[in-house]
Amino acid sequence: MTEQVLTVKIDGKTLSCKPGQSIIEVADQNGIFIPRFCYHKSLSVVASCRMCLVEVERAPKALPACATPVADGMVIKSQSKIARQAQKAVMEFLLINHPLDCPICDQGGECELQDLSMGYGQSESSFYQSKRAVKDEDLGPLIATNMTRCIHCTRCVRFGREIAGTPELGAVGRGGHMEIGTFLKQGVQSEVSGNMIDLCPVGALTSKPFKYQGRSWGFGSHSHMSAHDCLGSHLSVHTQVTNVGKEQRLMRVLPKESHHVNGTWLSDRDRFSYTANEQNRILKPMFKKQGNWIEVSWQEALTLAAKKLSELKMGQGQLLLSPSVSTEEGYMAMKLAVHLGLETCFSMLKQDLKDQFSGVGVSQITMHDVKQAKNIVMIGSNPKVHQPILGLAIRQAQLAGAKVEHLTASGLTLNYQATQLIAHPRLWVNHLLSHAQSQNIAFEGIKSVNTEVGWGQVDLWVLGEGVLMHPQGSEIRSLVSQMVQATGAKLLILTEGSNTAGLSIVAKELDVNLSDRPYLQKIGIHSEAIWLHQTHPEFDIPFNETIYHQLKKSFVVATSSFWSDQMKEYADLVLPIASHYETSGTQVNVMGHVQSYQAALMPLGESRPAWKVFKVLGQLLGKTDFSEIEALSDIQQLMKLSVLSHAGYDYKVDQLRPANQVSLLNISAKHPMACDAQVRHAEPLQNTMDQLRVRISEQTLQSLDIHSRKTVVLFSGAFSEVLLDISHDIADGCIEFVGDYRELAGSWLQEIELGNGA
Amino acid sequence: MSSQIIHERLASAIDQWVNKFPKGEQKSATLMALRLVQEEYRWLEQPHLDAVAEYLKLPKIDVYEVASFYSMYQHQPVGKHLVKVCTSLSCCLNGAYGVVEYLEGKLNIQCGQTTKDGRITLQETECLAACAGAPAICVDDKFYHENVTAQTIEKMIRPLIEEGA
Amino acid sequence: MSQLNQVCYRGIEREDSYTLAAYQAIGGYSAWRKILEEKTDRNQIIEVIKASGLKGRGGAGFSTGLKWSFVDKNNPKQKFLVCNSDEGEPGTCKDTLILSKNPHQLLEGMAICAYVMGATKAYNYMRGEFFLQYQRCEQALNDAISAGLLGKNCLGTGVDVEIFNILGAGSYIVGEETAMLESLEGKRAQPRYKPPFPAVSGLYGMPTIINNTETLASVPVILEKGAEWFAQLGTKGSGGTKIFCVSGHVNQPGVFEVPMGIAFSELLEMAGGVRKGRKLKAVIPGGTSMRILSANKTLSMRMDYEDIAKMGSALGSGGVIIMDDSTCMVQALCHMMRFYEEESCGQCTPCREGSGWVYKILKDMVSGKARPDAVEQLYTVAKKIEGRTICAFGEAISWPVTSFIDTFREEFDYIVANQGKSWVESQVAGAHARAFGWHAKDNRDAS
Ligand SMILES: Cc1cc2nc3c(=O)[nH]c(=O)nc-3n(C[C@H](O)[C@H](O)[C@H](O)COP(=O)(O)O)c2cc1C
Ligand code: SF4
Ligand code: FES
Ligand code: FES
Repeated sequence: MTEQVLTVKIDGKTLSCKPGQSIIEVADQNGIFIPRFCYHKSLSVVASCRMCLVEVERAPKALPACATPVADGMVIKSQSKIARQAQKAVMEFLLINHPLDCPICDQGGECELQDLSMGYGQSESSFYQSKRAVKDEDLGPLIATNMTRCIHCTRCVRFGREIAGTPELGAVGRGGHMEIGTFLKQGVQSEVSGNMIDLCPVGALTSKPFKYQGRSWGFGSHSHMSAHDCLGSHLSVHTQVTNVGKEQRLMRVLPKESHHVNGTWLSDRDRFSYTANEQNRILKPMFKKQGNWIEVSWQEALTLAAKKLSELKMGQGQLLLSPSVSTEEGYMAMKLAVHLGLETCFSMLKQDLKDQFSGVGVSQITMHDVKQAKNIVMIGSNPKVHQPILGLAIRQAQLAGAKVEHLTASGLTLNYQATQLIAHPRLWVNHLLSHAQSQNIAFEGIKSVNTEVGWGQVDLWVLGEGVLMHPQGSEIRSLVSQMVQATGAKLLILTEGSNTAGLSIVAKELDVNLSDRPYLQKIGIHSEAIWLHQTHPEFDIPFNETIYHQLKKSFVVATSSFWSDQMKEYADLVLPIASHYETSGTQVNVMGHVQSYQAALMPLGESRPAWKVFKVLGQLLGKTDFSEIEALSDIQQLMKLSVLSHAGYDYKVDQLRPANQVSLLNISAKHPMACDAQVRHAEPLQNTMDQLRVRISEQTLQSLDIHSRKTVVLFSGAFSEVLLDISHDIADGCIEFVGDYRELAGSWLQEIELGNGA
Repeated sequence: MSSQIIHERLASAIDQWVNKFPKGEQKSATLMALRLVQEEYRWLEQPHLDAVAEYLKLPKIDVYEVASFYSMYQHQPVGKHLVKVCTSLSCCLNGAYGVVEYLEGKLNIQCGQTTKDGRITLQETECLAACAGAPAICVDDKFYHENVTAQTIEKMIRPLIEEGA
Repeated sequence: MSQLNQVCYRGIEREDSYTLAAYQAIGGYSAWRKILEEKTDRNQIIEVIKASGLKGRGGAGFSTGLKWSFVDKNNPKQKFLVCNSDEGEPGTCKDTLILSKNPHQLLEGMAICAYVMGATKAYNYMRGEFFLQYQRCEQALNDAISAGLLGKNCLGTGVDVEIFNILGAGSYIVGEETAMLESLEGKRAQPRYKPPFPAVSGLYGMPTIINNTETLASVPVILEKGAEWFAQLGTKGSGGTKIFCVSGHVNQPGVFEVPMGIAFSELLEMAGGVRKGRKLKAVIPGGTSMRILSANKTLSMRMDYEDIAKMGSALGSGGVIIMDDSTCMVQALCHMMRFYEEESCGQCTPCREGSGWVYKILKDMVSGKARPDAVEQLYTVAKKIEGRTICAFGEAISWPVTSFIDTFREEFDYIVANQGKSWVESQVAGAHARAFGWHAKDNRDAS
């Protein structure tokens, strides 16, 4: 069947289009600009601002181009007298209650109202009565409001309802008294709220961190990638040359449209992590001499590092590598590690590596597949907070009719409709087996079980943090991937950081010694030297006293952008490294999408791109192949990212290990706002968190003989008293932290102890 | 939370309205749920709105949007009885403002205010669809008084002031 | 004198007219029984309604038969009928009487319409204050269900028509049909942009018909007595009867169901003529959203769609507001515009901003603060709203404003030139600027 084609005429141009398209869509496709405020291609059409009124031949009055479907032979005039008069009238109405404060407005220079009023407004309005004033609301640390400027286009309201799925803003009151707000005067909670700033055509909703920072016309814009989740949203990073000297500053980060990742949206974490760029940075190489930090030159620092590392015996040192660094610097770091005989680890969460799962090549899936899925099962996954852009895609699938089911240890607050099967993690394997049985899928050598799950024919499996850190992670991955092979379903195994896939590829390439022991045990063996690259163990891994003492005992070289308080105590030598935004490189996302990016600005202080530092270190260690690397492109040639498509996952579990029996399990995943040092230093993001509470069921409290109702005392390394949140929504035998639990991050799927509080 | 505000009797009254709409469209009952809650508590404060949201399983903002749109919902403390005088055109042509002034004097309050004893709140309202009986008054959003005169007003407000005393 | 109360108000003079017994005694439910028995072809009914010339009585006057034919009966989706009993248009008080005195006839009309369109569920949406009317309708509904006439499996024929009475919560705009659908969905009553039309995507996105109370209550009588009978009651383009609500400066205001095309003068006479022997000054013939007519235009006017349109206004909802020569037109308009400012839903720009602007200018005029060019400004602002809004509320602002100015320009110029002093006060003996002084005997010749 060939698709029907219609012909219309807009402003004299004959254009072909599809039935069902609106006039404005056809105009946009053909580069004809029709003014608009309420219309946005990603949102529903409300036709309320009336700015897009155009003349349509034979229609008795001007029609809204955004809501009028094209018809064959339609003749549309967007510039005729009728159209212009209508547009001018609407513009005048919009301006009568709009303040004339463009010079001090943060939107100045990129305000759709300001732009259009040049073309459609009159120089002088006949409105002389007093303008409406609207009280502002505090929407939290990310969004600044000036609601008197609001033109009621409701884009922000529709974004919350339609895209984010967290309706928090609404239209309150009616007529001329209608205001956009939360009514409650409470902040917005969404993980993607910053998009409302982009959507707002005027200066009513602006970026709070960006307030009064500058005017967009002086900005340089750079394509970059975010590094806080395994999807890697595409960014447009804006920088400005400051008046003093030639120094550049990061001004703000906006989404860059990309079909296969983030569309036009961006998570708040990706949008605001730039605010950390000048916070607590390591600006010079430093060396700890008899307990005191002293500045040293790069030359001295590198020589010292080379000396310490070369003295190591095989297997006596470790490299702990952030899973969010570029593939190029990861390549260089691991190459060094291989030469030095260091054990390498870039997984901070995994407890079980029996299947050698690395994150490469498993998820042969695109964002489009996710949105098209019809029956999605998500195990131990909460994309709304951990991978917000994926959360939006799942929501889109659900709105299009998909059934979504979660297997989780505690009830999730989701932004889409889903059924949640709440079960203790040690039962998850059982649930998988019974599902397989209901679908007549058999596993060699594995007995079936008798529990009921009604998932039906699943066409997309998503395995999240809960599986990554699960002691039976290999079993779960293996069972699911076998079912995927049997049924042709899609599989998405979410990974840590932004570049697990890229690092895994080069690790294989370099034959890196990646141990199958979990990280926790790894650092526990006595290492003589530990090299931390962009990691802070006290936040990034399950941390305890023993590890701390081990770190203090070893010679710790930290190549890092940011300080941390504890690092000052355990590190011995720090080398300042360019931050993510100051780095050029390549990332491979969890869907196998390879993307390179250029540094948006010069490294701060004396910090240097990591790959250059590692090259010099290699040379100092007398490794000739490091001398041949002159530029980033040389590394890229060596990386061979093409192996990607061939890699697979074929681990078959033959025997199920019994699940650990622990009396109380902490199921909290690593806090999304503590995922890496850049995010941990972004103050606006850190301020979004609620107070720490511990969620637990009544049943569990009783079984622990705890009678306090308000607080409990927690033993995890140290004692702390924590507010209680007694809930039915959590599996018995589990606790979960909610709110600000950054400090308690490192104990996921570990045993934990509680005692009576108040 | 909601169970304290929406007690059993209120809940069953709301359910009757929920049942008028197709399954899964309980949002449709928002208007009446708010009204029933208002009849119970006289005016609507945030906990009332939240209770309705929780009871009907709706995002809170959905309820706020509705509550702030329709004019019968009271968001400020009001008296036990609401006396609303129509001041739309037909009633005005028949002296509606005289009625307002008369009641203001009688109750010793300004329009929009509540008597000291908390019994009566006087408000203006728009056309009540009783224009052929102008001037018209509606008491407690239910009971109409048409062609009002000084005498009929006396008769109308006496029970409101005295009943149950 | 024309015969009164032949259609929607038939039988209401009986004290117990709202009971099932009384309604059946005058032949009520016979049309519905016949349809159920004969399983009348729906197209046949549509043809009868078309031939009767019945047009929507809610204000827009769209052919009812034609509207019914837009819904595809064979569409497998759930379909809905909505009866618009909001009666919000100032000057209109006709549906209230149908609801309280003749509820069964409305229910019968709704059942027939639901049958024709294949809807098994129907909602009767009444404005929030219609509490007693609601109780009457509930009683009638329960009685009819008990008698097997409505509900599931009507009279054992397998036809389902479930009717639900609904109450609003205070809003004029909810009377606009798509706003009513939003309200039924439990949302703010914000009109939807059309297309899509409700017949395609209405309540919960399903095919829906919305008709006014008077429209639906007319249906049983038309089917009982025939299209011909109904049509000939009225005039060529305006079949049947219409309920007019005569209010304002008349001696015996009231609602009169009269044949279409009755002379305005006769209607005025029915209402006891202009009060206290004052002179007729102006008439709003169809609720305050319609254009005002000066007295001289109404002298020979007939009350039907065509003739009122010829005079420059519209029949609208049938709310006929009479103003005598003591009325200050600026004050009156200012009052009306307070209403529209208050009731705008606020979603579309020209209405939200324009309604407030218009009201501000008028308040300035009345309080003597208007600028010299205020009348011009008022006129152009009103003009800029017209035809540019989502729903007809825009016209409901624009038409009164422009017609008041066109007809009574000198009063507007006078009040601006004289710092708020009213033209009538200076020119007409006994006129009070606010014209709203009150005492029953002040206002009317006691009868
Ligand atoms: C602002 C506005 C208010 C309206 N109010 C009412 C009303 O109160 N009652 C009514 O029946 N129709 C009202 N209407 C007309 C309805 O939109 C709709 O045309 C009518 O209910 C259709 O029924 P009908 O074809 O039987 O007249 C209003 C329209 C507008 C634009
Ligand atoms: S014209 Fe007025 S009432 Fe109608 S949709 Fe627009 S703002 Fe709402
Ligand atoms: S863009 Fe079309 S009405 Fe707003
Ligand atoms: S104007 Fe008062 S009831 Fe209609």
